[in-house]
Amino acid sequence: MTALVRSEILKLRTARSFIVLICIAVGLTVLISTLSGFLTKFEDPGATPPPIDATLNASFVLFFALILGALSVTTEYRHGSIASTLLVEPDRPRLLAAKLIAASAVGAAIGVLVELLSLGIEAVILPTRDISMDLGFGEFLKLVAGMAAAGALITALGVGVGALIRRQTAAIVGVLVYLFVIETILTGVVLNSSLVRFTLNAAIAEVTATSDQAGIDKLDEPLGQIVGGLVLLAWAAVFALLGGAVMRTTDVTD
Amino acid sequence: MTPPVQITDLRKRYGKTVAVDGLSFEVDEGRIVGFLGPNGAGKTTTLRSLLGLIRPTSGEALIEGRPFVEAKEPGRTVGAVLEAGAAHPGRSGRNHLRALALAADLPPGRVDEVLEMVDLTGAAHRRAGGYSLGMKQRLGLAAALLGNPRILVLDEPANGLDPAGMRWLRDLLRSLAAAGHSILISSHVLSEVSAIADDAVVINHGHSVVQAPISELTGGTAGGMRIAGPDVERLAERLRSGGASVEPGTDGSLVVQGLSGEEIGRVVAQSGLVISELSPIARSLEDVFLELTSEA
Repeated sequence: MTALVRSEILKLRTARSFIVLICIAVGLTVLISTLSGFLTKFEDPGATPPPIDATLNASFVLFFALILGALSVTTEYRHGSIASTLLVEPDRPRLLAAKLIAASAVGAAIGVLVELLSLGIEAVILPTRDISMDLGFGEFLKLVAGMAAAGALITALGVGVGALIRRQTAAIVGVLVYLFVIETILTGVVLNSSLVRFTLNAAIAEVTATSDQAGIDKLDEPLGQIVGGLVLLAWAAVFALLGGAVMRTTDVTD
Repeated sequence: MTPPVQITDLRKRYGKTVAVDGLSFEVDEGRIVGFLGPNGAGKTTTLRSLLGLIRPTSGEALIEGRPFVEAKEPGRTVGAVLEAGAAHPGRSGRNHLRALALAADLPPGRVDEVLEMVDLTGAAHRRAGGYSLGMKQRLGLAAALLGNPRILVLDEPANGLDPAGMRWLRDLLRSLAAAGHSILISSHVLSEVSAIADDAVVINHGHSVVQAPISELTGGTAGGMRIAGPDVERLAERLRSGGASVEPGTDGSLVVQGLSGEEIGRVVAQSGLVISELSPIARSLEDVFLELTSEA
């Protein structure tokens, strides 16, 4: 399994789409964190504390991690390389497990990278405005661990989505529509406050410890970082199981 | 002894369409088998069923006596070329092979060896999306050869190869077969199959039409007998009365079907006619293929 996971990590880091996605994610993190560092009015009463602001600025990258996870499966089908892959590892559930592990590791690394980047940028900029970053080591660990966990679980969720849908455009559009349209409707209109916490956006906010500022826990009691992580894990597990079932039973015809 | 490849009563149905209909054949050790059939005959479906990519509706497609998905060392058991250029276009050819070698637990040095074998070393670091069709085909062959597998399954491997590449492929496959590797090769280039393969399996409408050594299909008197002499008109008349079918050949000769060389010799001897030539006519694999797969 170790060799298979290393193979999947190699595939991820040597595909141009991966490099492009990482560059965009890092570039946007730098841009947004820099603008936020210079422009956000942290002095206002009720303003988002700088460490949470930095994490919110970094957490949008999780969407890229989700896409990256989906691409790790859909590109194999799109370019026909799934046949070559299945020739060296014909056990499809094992292959999917390797993809999940590899994508989770890469997702965690992305989460940590952008979190450190965002915190670092604000830590450099804020003193020039005489604003304290006010970040203790315990909270620092909590925020970094939260982004690592969210990155890992969201990328794994992407792998499950990719295995379930297989068609690249459909998978990406489906994720976009769900996250930004369907969940918005569910949150605003359909679900009551206790169910809203189990939506994907809410679970991400809980894991990254930003739910206070994301408006989620104003609706009800907070789930907390660990329970939020379990909710996100459940999302990833359900899609991995569904994707695995589809992958195992579907013919590879092209 | 279990044959390396064994297809038994294989059936695959897509809805109402029957792609493969009770196909059976084998590939023996050290043999190169040409897998032939018209477009839509079920060749690709059969090959993909053999490799565990398609689930058969019924029947068996076995590699060394078991379904390929149960192979203990799949990368060292079977290598396959199914589609030219089936690699991520944004990844270099070398990295494509490195990922496969890692997954198959093969030594990293093997990647450079196969790149050298297929003459792709110079383009190894270029993105596969920029490869020509011939280079993509060579990359596919490199992937197939990575694990030095005992069995090769090749679907149209000569597509996109230039004449030198086709010669190289032919020599490579012959040397692999001589070393005991078993090779199943599907191709539309019948002259190539004829030059490479030992046996042919011809399928049509999803079932086997014939499996035989190519020499048996094309050799002997399969194409009839050519006979020539100073008085071909009387010769034709006598042969027809002896039960033969006679058609005009080239250079004033006759092509005789329906009688063996010995039987023709007897007719000629009894008639007292003079002949200047009596020789067997071999058929091309193309003739055999068209005859076996014609709808008439």
